[in-house]
Amino acid sequence: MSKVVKTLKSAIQLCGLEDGMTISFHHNLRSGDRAAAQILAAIASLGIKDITIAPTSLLPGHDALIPYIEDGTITRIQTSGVTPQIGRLLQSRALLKQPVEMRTHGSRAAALESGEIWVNVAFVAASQADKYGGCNGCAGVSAFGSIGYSMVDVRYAEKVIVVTDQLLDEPVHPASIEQSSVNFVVPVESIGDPAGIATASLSPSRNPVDSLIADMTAQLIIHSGCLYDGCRMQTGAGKISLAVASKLSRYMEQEQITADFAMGGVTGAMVEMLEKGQIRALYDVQSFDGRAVRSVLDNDRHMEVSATAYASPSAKGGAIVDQLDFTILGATEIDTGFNVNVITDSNGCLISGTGGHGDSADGAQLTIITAPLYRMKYPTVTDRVSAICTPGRCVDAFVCEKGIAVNTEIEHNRELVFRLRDAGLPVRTIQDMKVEAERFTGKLPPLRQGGRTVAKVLWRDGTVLDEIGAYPE
Amino acid sequence: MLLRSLLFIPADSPRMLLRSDVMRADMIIFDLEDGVAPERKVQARELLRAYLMSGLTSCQCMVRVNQVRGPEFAKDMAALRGVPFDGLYLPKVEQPEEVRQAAEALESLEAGTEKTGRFLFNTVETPLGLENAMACMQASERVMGVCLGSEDYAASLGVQRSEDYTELDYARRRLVNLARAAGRKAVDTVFADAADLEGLRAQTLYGKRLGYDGKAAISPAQIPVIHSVFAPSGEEVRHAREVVRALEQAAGAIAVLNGKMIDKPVAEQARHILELAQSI
Repeated sequence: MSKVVKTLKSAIQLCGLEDGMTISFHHNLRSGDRAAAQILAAIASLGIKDITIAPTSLLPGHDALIPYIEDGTITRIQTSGVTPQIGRLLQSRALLKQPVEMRTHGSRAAALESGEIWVNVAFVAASQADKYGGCNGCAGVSAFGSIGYSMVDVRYAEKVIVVTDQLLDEPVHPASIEQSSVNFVVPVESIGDPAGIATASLSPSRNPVDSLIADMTAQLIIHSGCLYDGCRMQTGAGKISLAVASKLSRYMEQEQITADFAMGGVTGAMVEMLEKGQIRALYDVQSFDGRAVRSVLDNDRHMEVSATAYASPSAKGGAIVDQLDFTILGATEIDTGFNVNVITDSNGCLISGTGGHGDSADGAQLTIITAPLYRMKYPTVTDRVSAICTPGRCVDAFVCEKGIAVNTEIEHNRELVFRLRDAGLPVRTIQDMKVEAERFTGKLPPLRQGGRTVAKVLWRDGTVLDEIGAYPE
Repeated sequence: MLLRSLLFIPADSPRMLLRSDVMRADMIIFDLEDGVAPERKVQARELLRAYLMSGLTSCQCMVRVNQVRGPEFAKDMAALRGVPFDGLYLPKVEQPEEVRQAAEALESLEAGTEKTGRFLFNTVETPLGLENAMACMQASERVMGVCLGSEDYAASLGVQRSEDYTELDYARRRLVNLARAAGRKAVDTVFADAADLEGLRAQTLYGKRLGYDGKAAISPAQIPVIHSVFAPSGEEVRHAREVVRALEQAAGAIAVLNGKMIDKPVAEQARHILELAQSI
């Protein structure tokens, strides 16, 4: 039976969306997303108000939703992150009925499973769909790769609307989301610009500071013992991460090491390692560039996985992140307790999201945070981060251009210190690094925030890790 | 002193100054000369002075001052009074008198202070400078070494510098020979295309084969390539160890390794490789 409905408005009416209900959508199209704005425009045109949006994250493609926050169409947000523009709006004006709930990708999946997040209508932007509802994100003119985040939403939402700009008469292949999960299919002119997904770095950094950090990070991984034949890795998509991946790739080639799998947000650099036989499989919840998008479709060993399989703490038998030997992550700040902030800048302004940061940090055997010691006039290492998104107990080491700080509060890391020193690597304490950073930047004045809580940062188990306040009066 | 790489950093760039100690060059050259526009020289001097006085850097550094025979040199030296740095990099050196004048300026700078023994590094950038290079190196005990300035040298010859540096071949070969004869270090000229790392590798390798101790660099991205060329290979280090061991076993007599005689030059070369490997 065809599930095609001509307009978004009709599909929304057929789903029975009313004031006070919750909708969700994915962020796989990242800066190129044009679907969410069309969805909210349709909801607003129906006069529906007081909506909770529960997207997998909010990226610059979603800044178009700002008018709907201002006019009361959207009054609650459950997400893994926000954009600087949306952050500025929320911290300067009290527009929402309750603070934004920020969860990791894994804990969002767990909250959907437990019903803590209850989605009335899940919207799935798909680059290819058939009239029965089967769809994917890896084929079609707007292909964006893995559609892994929405795989969870379609399972638990009351109703599912697929929005596509390539509607097929015949059953779609691959059907990353099966027709049985979908209620309606709405053709639109465009779901977005796939060029906008390439927000990740496309090439390793040649910046000397990044390059030095990448060198030390690669050496740390090599001497930690976590890089072995059959290891499992997540290298990330930042410029430093790509430089580390490139160095590890050369080492793996030389030592004939093959990783069992790499996972997470997938880049072209990881695809290259897969194609060279240095990685046996890629588990992809989010594709970060055109090469990764093509590979999802073309390479059987490059597999889409759901956010549950990727990172949910309640996944039966454990999530894939729990099998990681090492992960390389970034930070806007890290404090002397190794707590990490990736959500706000040093002034406490919301600029991004936690994403899968906490999930992979918690799951991996060796979690490495990389960042320059300072940015402009702001130190990266502080007494207390402006907002905790990943607690220090999940972080094993911090690498900056001045050396490596190992978190020896975690007992098994004490041996790591000896290994690294024996290898001639510059191991220093995190307190040393804080002092060094302040030599360049001076000491920051204490963070001032207004009394109103704008966002709550939730840990993987649902507990509140930190709260982010409004701008000071 | 290890001198595989000399990296130029314009002294009027706060961002680059602050990052200079993580560039991984063996020697940083803070540039007050051609890397700084004439209207920014005052600002560059103030910035460099403030930076070096702040104690934020621990790297070995020289300052490329303006030409000794020009009006800016005295202003540069005044700005460096009381400032920690290791030596002066002298541009366009042509006459021994310029070197003696720079040495006297250093004497005056160091008088009554704890920091002494700063060195000079001469740059040959003209045919006359090349012809007088030996005399200029011998003009002061402070002269540690010499480097060829390729762009100015080519301009002085009246030729366009080509991608393979052919027109500089004579100067490069002659200068390294003169430096060795004078017992000074020789650092090869910069490779101007910062984006062409393969071209840089080829030219660095060529300079190493000519006998240069290191190479000057204009971009931090060039440093790892230069270091990889000047690092002795694992095979070279292994062979050098075998040579030294064979000599020790021979207890001073001429040794033989794998059927080949180890004489004094071979032994010296092996010790040099081991010293280099040790210092990296």
